[in-house]
Amino acid sequence: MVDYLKTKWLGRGWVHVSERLRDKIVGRVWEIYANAFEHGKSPIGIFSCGQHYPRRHELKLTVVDFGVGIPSNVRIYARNQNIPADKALRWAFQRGTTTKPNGTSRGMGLDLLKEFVKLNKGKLEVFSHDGYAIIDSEGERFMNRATFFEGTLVNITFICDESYYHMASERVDEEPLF
Amino acid sequence: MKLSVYALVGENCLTMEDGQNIYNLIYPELQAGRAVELDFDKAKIFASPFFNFSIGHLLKDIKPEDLNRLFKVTNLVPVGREVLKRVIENSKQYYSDENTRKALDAVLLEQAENL
Repeated sequence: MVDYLKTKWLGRGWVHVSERLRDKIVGRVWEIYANAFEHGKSPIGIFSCGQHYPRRHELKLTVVDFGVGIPSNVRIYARNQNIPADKALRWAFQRGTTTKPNGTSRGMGLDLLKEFVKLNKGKLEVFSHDGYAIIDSEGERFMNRATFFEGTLVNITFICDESYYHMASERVDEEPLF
Repeated sequence: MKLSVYALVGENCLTMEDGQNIYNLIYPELQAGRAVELDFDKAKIFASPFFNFSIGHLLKDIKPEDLNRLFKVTNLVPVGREVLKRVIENSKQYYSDENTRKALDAVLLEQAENL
């Protein structure tokens, strides 16, 4: 999966990104696959595809699973089948929330990806059951939709211009870690 | 004890399983008061499940000041350090004490139930 992202998606020569930025994008995007595998419980696995839009300088990646769906996972966790999809998605996208609170600190993956797309003028869209979420530099919006998608589809858009990206400095951080 | 992350899991530090394997090696040493160095030389790609299970989870039983004294992370590139710092921040809050952890789990559930 990591090789697909590195060589087939980002590494086809259609995007000029440094190795450092490539590794950062792959790490952030991988969080989506981790979520899909862990929470989606899709009986037929996960589908993924990417496309480059040269005129718009955009690179898109789509990850689809046909599993439980985010609203349904939140409803099961909350033992309340009446939670509207937009509210369920809003809850799931907060930092530190997880439907698997098994005594281990969790729920950071989406937060890291959200921050990355917001900061770098990208876009993250999620269609799950009748819920829709869009996250970009303008903020986060959650909506209910008339159409129903049986699973979860995540669409990530990145701008193919390294100058947009904020990277942490290379200087050695001497602060205590904990 | 010095451990090479690359030798144990390769250049991709992503999964909770790999994180748990690292945790299983370092936790007994730290719990016994022995110093541990985790060397990330050649590790390139990082995600939060790996750090949650390898390092964040240490905060459940070991105090931050003891970890600062006994546990050293070396050769971790900024991209990895960014993820690790976020995980530690979250874990410190989550594991600050047993009551806080239970309270946070309860608040999470209550929040979801009230949606």
